[in-house]
Amino acid sequence: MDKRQMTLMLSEREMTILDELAAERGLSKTALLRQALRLYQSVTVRISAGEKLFVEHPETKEKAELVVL
Amino acid sequence: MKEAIETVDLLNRETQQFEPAILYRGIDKTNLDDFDRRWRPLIDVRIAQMTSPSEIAAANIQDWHWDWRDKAKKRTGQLASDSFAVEIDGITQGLLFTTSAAFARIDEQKGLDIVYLEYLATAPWNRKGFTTRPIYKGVGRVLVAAAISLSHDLGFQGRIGLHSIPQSESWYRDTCGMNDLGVDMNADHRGVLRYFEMTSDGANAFISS
Amino acid sequence: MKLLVSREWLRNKILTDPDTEIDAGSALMVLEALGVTVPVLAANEVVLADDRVVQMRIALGALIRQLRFQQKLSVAALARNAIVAEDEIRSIEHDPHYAPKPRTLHQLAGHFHLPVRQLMAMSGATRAIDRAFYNEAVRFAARADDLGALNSEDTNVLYAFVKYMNDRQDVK
Repeated sequence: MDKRQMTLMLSEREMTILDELAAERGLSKTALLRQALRLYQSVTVRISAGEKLFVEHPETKEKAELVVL
Repeated sequence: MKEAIETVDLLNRETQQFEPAILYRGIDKTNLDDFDRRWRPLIDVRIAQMTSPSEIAAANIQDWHWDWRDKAKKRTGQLASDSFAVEIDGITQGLLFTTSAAFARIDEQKGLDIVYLEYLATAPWNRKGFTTRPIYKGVGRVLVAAAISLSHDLGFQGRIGLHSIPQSESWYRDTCGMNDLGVDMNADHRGVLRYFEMTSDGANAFISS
Repeated sequence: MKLLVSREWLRNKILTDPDTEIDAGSALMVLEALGVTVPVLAANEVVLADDRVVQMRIALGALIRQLRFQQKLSVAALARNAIVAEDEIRSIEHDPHYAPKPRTLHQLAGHFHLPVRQLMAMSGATRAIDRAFYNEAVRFAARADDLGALNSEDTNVLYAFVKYMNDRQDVK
């Protein structure tokens, strides 16, 4: 598969969060950003198709629509 | 884009000889045509055999076609979607569809990214369920290995998950060593399919056993 | 992406793996629900042709009718008790070209304490049927009297068939 390169500038805060998330999820920073892109596309496609995203409270089971993008 | 990953072997049950097969990442028109022209007609015959004729069988066949097509269509162009095919002499022997937009359920890895196997199937002529003389053995082993390899490639350390049909449960639980999380009551699976998940350790055990 | 196992490893594993089904995924659920993923006809099974489906339905009709007589129920009363439509009961009892609804069969099975699977087989809902069961059902239908109240011989024939059905449901 052909690969292309980009340079990404992140703020201090963004970089910290990237580091933390990567550590928490057991992913390299690159793997995490790639996965973030996949998930973002996945969500966007669904919303564009008219589907809705909800979050559910773990105890009350109450659902709230994710007001989105 | 379809890419040959590796040459593997499937066992021909009749001759008891291995025959070379190619594992591809990505599928193309050949595989979709094989599904439509080689797999589906055999499945439709079974549906007609198992249910009374007339509009009931026709409706069932329509349901299953729609279901498959709908799922296949939703995957096109999605980065999170992957597919694999196993072919012998250009004929599709097995198919695997995965998504990486999925999260683990087992406590020890709860919420972590996994490769979820949306569809894993061997061709009808390879299945005991369709013929008394199934031909090739080994599609399951190859495709589970492919899924674990993909999971590692994405940084997910081999974690995979799937919903098994009843006839395959012992394969996933006992042979693959996956954790059985029980019947999934979620709407999509209507209390029929059991959910199985493999931890990173389980994946390592599988590929190094 | 690299395949993390070797060709040799795969060969060794495939040789020793149990020979079981491996399919997975919710796309297969529709097939599962239709019973399409169960093994093909066993050596003792046949696929029913249309005229044989009719024979089985005649047997089903006789069975329901006789069990209803046994319980001294009118069609209306059975319909009420089993929570099914009256006209459907009449169709099952008298019209061998009528395809009973699965729910109705479930309800009648529950009411008369019969195995649902066998009733489904008799209704023609599934076409793969145990040869021995087919013969037994047809034999029962031939001896069933459809004139009303059962004498003791009719009752014995009826009970023998019901017992056969119940014993049969445990046979794979």
